[in-house]
Amino acid sequence: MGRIELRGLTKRYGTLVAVHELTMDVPPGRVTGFVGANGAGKSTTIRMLLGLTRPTAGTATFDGRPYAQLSEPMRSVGAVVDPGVFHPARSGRDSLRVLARAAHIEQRRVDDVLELVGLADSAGRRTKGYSTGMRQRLALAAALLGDPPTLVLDEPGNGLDPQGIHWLRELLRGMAAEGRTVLVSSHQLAELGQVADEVAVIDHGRLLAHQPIATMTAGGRRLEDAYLALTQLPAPEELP
Amino acid sequence: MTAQIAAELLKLRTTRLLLLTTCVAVGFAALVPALGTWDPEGFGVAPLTSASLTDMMRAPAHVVAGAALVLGIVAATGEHAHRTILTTRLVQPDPIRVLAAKATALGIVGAGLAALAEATAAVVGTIGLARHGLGAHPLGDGRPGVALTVILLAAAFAALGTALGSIVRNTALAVGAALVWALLIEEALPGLTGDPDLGRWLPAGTIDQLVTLQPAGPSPAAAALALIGYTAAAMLLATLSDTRRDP
Repeated sequence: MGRIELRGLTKRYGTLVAVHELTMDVPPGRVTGFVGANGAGKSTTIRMLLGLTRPTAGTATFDGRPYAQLSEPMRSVGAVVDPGVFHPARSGRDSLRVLARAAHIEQRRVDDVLELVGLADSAGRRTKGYSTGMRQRLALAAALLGDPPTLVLDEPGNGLDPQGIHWLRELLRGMAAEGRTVLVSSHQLAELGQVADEVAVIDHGRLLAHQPIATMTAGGRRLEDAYLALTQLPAPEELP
Repeated sequence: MTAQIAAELLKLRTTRLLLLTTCVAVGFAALVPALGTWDPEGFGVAPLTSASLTDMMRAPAHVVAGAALVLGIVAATGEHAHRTILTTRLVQPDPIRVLAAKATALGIVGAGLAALAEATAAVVGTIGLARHGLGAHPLGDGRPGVALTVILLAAAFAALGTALGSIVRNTALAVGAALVWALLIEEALPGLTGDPDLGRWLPAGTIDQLVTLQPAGPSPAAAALALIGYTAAAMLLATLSDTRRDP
């Protein structure tokens, strides 16, 4: 159910190599963290995976099929690429109704996901009045609209308050426990350490490691230290 | 595809853009016959006759076509301005289907907008003429043909606006380009080329050829074909643009 496969995925913008021959598998039933600094290539990789950016080379597939060839994409893959993807003059509920209508999803599912993400009370308000956290919740609601077996989330915790972070953590763990594939990009290592089963580290567009989190943190090592060692940055306590 | 069109129609219904353009088009359609029959001499209108109703129904053509064009432009560029194009493309990854659904939905809305404007012009005009003791039936003297022409014009201009907006992706730039084209380039081209009839073949010029049946220039059928050609060419360019650029 929903195995993600990246094979030699590459994106060049002129002479800049944003992503370089990235190859990895994201298995179902686990939460896979996708870690990297700002500009490391996480978002570009996710956009290529979702067919929003054309790769220079390589492939990105869901169960062997590129996103563009999925017959009902929203029922196959739920994605958060950016919380700022809603028309400011449209209400939260209407924003989801538009997506549901285009994806042949029954309208009552809109209210279900609004309830699930805790936006039922503010669903009738225009999204221009939403906080960043509310927009993030709405983006998550959109991702869950088709009840997909695969979730691809780019920085889903940004803007969420502590309750929201806790809720998101439980949601992702629950999704993985149901056998769904969950790929979450983040640069919040401490948070990712609490939810991910395995972690892929990307730096300057190259995959440095993809290991179970237990392996990365073996011997009591913190995920942050493992990440810094991989990216050859000094650990916080070594900084002057 | 039907679901995509329904979603595009819902998008239009859930913001104020459609309401605003409807108010402009219908307001203008009401204003022209209202003022023309209120004080014909004051507004320099030819002496009123029963046939004046036909002119009143022709009058909104430019404004309705312009409103439909702007509606199409803003609907297309708004997707990029507000980044809703990302969710649109996540639901429907094929950019050609997205463009086709949007152009179809805008064509339907443009036609609806024009139908409302024409109905308004017919009702206000009929009432105004009755005040002067002139009886005119909105369905008489070829008026349904005028209304249908304006409706089809609006549908074509809405699709043209959608294509232009998809190519340019920036609202100010696309609306500015449309204004410069209609107000400057179409006016200047006949002089620059030395062909005074050229303007009648250009997009805005076709409105007059189709609605007011000018004696010179292309026949209504030729003008209609020219407008369909412009719309098809713009849609082709928009398709090439959308398939080659990331959203």
